[in-house]
Amino acid sequence: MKNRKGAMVHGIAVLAGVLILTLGGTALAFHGGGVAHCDGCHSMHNSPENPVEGTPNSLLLKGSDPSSTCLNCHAGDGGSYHILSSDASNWSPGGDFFWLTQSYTNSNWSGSVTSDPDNMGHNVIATDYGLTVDGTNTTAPGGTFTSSGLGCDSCHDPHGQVNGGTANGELPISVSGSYGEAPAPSTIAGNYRLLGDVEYGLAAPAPIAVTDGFGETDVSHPAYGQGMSEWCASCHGEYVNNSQKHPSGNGEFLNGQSANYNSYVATGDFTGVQATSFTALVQFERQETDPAILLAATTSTAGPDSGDNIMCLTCHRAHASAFNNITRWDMEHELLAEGWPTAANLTAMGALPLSDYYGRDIATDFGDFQRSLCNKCHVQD
Amino acid sequence: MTGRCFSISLIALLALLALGPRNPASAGVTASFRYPLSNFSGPVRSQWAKLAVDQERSEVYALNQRANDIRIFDRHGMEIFVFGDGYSTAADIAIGEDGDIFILTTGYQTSTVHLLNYRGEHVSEIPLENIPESLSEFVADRLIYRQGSLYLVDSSSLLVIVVDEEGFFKEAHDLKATLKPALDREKRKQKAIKDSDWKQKALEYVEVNGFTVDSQGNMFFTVPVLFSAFRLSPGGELMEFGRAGSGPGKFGVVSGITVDEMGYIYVADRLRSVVLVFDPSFKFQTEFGYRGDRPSSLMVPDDLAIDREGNIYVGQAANRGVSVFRVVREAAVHEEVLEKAVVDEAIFKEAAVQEPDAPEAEVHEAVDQEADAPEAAIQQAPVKELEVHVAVVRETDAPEEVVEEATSPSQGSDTASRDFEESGQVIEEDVPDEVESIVDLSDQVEFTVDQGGDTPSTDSEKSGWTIEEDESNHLEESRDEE
Repeated sequence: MKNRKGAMVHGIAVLAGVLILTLGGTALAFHGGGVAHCDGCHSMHNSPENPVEGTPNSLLLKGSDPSSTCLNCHAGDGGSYHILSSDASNWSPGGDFFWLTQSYTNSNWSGSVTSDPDNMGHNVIATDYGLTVDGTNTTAPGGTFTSSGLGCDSCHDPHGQVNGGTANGELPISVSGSYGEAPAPSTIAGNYRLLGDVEYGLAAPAPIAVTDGFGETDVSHPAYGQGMSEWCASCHGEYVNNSQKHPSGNGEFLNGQSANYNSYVATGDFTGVQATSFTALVQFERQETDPAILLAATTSTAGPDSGDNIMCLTCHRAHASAFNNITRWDMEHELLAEGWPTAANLTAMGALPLSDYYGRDIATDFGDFQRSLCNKCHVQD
Repeated sequence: MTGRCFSISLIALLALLALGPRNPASAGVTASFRYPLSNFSGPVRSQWAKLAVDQERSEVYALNQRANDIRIFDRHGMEIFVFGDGYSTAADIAIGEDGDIFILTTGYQTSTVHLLNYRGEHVSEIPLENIPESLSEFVADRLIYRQGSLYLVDSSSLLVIVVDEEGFFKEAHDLKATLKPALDREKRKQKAIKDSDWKQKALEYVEVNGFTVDSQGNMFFTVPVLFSAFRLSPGGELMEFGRAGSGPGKFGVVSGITVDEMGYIYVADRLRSVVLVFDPSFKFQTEFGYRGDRPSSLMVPDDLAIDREGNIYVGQAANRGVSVFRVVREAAVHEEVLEKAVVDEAIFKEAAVQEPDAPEAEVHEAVDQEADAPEAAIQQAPVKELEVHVAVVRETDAPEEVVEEATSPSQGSDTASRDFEESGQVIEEDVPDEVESIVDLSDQVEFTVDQGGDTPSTDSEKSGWTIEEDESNHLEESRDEE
């Protein structure tokens, strides 16, 4: 009897502990590197958030689809953890899905040209937020992944598992994998930005990177370590075929291009030095896997070493950008200051001025005759 | 002996069952769906429209940022005017008492208030004058008009600037400083779970989502990452209410917030796709909406506005436009709320008298809002000892004054609110379940209340409200009335 009572007391204590851990501290750390609390995204019994008399969601999600569920929290203006704004104000490393929602029209030598918002980002399907399937590509460029299945969860594992999680024999997750935190003994960190890995269905391990926040400036930015291009190749494999395309990936060191990067300040200005040559507009991978070293690099203004490498995100953003093909800068005009979208386009779309370059005024910061930032490495201007 | 115990237990259980669910307050508020805001082509689509009500003319304005237009609807929900050219960067809209339209536009690190006439024609920009130098980086993205004042909110920096209709600075409020105790509480919680510098750093990213001001000057705002809503009185008292969860009355991702003339508070929840209704003492009353395809359903509700007739306007995602509900607060039940508050007051007074060591009531003093220097007008929470705030109810003839917050000694004995100094003693009386904590703004203590009990059932009958789907052609209804 005493044992039963003791067991009951022990059980209550354990339950209380679980409740405290479950209910306390959930704010501000919803994912926490691993799976969040279930009812943040799911409605377990087709209860009011997902009524059976309406259109039941097969995944019991609190959104019409996975991406809409994510955007319940991640849609909003301003910086922070938002990724879809109404005014292009999310200046995050991945970019603002705003650019998928608006188009603009300009004229050039060929006549009137209307932009194609489908071409400005990954067309994740989020019905509740007006994000629809890619109207141009039925499969991923350079791959076979079907556009009709693209969502946030195509790249991010919402359950935050690493290598299949504990059910697959992995250690528990104790810290986020995004911010360089050291995991507690006998635990591991989650993947960077909850990115999916091989066990999740991607063709490569989750890339290694660290960031110190949500934004991206030249003095506060992600520090990429390894594996980004290999991971992107899960869907865009033909685009990371280095024998036929622009080299990209772990083995594609910058070599001599690193010297170009470090001396290049702007078109015609080669007075730069490595210690201050970094621009977040042209990122690179540091061939580093130590989170502590990468964390220190998130505030570094230093340019690359010769052993650092180019990756997909050197030229592209992951979510969306103001430019065709999700590039970080306009690659379709000779002079960036004359590129599209123009200031008038931005205003007409309801986008913040300068939002295309994250607050940079190209003419002021680089000069009226600044040419493509491809020249940061290639110096052909 | 065992059989007797069993019998007693059985009787007690039956008695509990006979009493049924305890849900005294929710019976007082009913919400029924009326119609979506429409024009002669049908419902007007919009995505998270920003809403403002012209109380004098019973018109509602909907700013659809994605379509760059502003539409005006009459009291029957019919569109009567559209404008918006030149305001593609409009972030919010407010309506003055005389029908003036105020549009807030944003630029790169700038924001501008525009004055328009009732035709939507630009009259002038309203330059902000005498803004303290310390607020030079303030960029507003929310705008509220209340009784001759414009409240401008920078939701990222959690700053509020109040100016008059000519743009002259009146006062400012640093909500982040005011929220510091609540934020520190979160830090402590998270510190207790694991030592994580990052999560504490994340507190720097706290932002305001919904914001409104009631007729008494109380500011209400929601903070999604805290799963909470707050009321900041003109005197600087901060009250927090709401609790994270999925059940009725609980907060998911809180967004828009508005207050009616009786003091009832309406909070939109994007995640749960509902609008929650709280009485003036923060007691949960009911909720309506729910995700789905039904006309009465809501899809990720955001901004809210309510008119004097009890029509509540709900801006939604999924391009569903603005849904209109009619909220009825039964007078009898409202009287019940008042009576309960009076009883609460008596109990509280009695407790204070019976406790020999109880300190004298300390009446909260309003912060001087007329500081000479503009810098001095930046309001932060006054530093005080432990306080316990009780719902304040005073009956007067004017409905809008039925419920109000006591903020000065001049309100005397007809108020039921007092701030009491305590020394660590927890008083659980009279504070509604939904009030998670009453924050001592000096960050010395916090007052927590048991969250259990009284949560209404999900059953609509039990919870005391019904959805009456009245989407049967309100266009004809409006024609008939005309």
